[in-house]
Amino acid sequence: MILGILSISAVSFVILTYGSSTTSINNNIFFPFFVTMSVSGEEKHTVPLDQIVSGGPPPDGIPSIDSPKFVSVADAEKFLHDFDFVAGLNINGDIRAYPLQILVWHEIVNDNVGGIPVAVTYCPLCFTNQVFSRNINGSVVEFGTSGKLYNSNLVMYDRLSKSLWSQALGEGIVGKYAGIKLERIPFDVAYWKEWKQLYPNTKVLSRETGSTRPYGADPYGDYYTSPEVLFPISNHDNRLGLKEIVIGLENDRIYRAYNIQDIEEKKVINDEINNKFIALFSWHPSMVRVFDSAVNGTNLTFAFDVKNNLFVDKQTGSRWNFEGVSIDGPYKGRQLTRLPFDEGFWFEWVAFHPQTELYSQ
Amino acid sequence: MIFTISYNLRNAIAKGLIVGIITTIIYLLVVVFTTPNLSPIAAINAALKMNSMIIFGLAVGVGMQIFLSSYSKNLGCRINKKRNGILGSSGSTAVSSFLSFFSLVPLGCCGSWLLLLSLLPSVFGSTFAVVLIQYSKPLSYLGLSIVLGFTVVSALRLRKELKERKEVATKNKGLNNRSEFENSYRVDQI
Repeated sequence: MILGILSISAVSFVILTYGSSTTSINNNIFFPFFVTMSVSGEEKHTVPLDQIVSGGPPPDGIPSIDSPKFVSVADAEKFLHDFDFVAGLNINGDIRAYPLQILVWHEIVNDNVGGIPVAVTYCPLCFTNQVFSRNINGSVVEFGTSGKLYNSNLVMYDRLSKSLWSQALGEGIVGKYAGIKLERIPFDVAYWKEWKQLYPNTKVLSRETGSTRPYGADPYGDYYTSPEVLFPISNHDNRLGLKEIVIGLENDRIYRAYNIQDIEEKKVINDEINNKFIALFSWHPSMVRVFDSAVNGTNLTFAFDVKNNLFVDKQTGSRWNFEGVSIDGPYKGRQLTRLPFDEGFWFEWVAFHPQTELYSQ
Repeated sequence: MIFTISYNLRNAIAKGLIVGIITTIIYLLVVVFTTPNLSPIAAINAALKMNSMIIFGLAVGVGMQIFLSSYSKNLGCRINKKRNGILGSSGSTAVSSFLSFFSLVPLGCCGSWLLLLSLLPSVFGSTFAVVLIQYSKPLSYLGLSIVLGFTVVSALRLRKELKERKEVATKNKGLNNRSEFENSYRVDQI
């Protein structure tokens, strides 16, 4: 009886989940039909094909949100708590928040923000958020989940060419667009409490996504806080704990990671990567922004003015807010250029960038 | 000292062991099938790390149930008269295993269990699905304790039944001795 129930549960699950699957690459010797999109060895690819593995579900088994609806802060308060994370975007004054409690069930939102077609993506396993422009070589594409993983990270596909894209690399890895980089767009990961305080008029992604999902329940449980990972990691690096959150930056193949805790403590870090001068600002917990510190050909060095909660450049004494806008001093009205970055667990950053440097002062 | 065990007992132990092992194998096969991004060994290792208590607890609980039911059947006892025990135990095993599988979600982004969990609201409704996901771990342990509880109840029933039989046997033996004495007395008189 017991065995019967267990077997029936297993078989129904498999039929329910994989009934509509097609064929493709596969690393599971027991279930040859555990496969999703077809990838042949002859297709253009930039990573070893045998490292792109099926996570189980078919393409779009985890459905992206393609017609997102938004609600006001007041309506969002009904389902968001102060310490829920949101991915925040501010493009041309169009301010939107994407709660991770919704993204965890969809992983991709295809949206248009401030007139720019963007894909807001989230890989819960690596805690990597990324926002990309959906404009590739003049064509606007839509992204979906491929059901595959590369280095335990989300692999997306575009519905135009069916190329596969690595979320962590922000790059096409198989198909027509292999080797093409997506344009990254700066965004924030913030607590809802901070985001609504900064942007009281923000729009918030609605739970009316077109799919019925148990929003509010996190299927990853205590995964984010437990120190270990239960899947193999391609490159172990003990300089930080596996799940410490880092900000990763790259300039001309030089990679550098910053422990988010260091930035939070210091409030501002001035650094240089391969002759590019940058400043990392942290004003709110878990919220970091990276700016190009060059203004008028001068590389500015910033300090934090605790009394006024502002950043001050040492060269002119101008005061700058968290948006990177000078509100006072000789540079008043000037805007620093925001730079995109990677944010995620340390194990993910070093898996993709084994040669990374780790910032330490 | 040499222990001899009866054929009935040996047979019941064998059945219990086999079913316990099969339960574990089925559980681990489900893990392997639903985690295609990991090698079977990595998937099994991860499952054992996360759910060892549930896996071995269920194997012991189910194996013991089969042992007790087989042993009592061979002795001619019926400890699960209304089959409620077996049904309850099977149901709890299935529920406990199912809920413990939820903790496999972190084994792979976009994984099978994430997909299955996302289908729960259409079966159970959103609120209940949220509760199931949030409390899957304690609920799976509750399921395990129900399985073990049924096992203990079955063991107690069997013990009671055997005790009653022993008492009846002793009583019958006394009655037989008495009737033998009466018969022999009658024969003497004749």
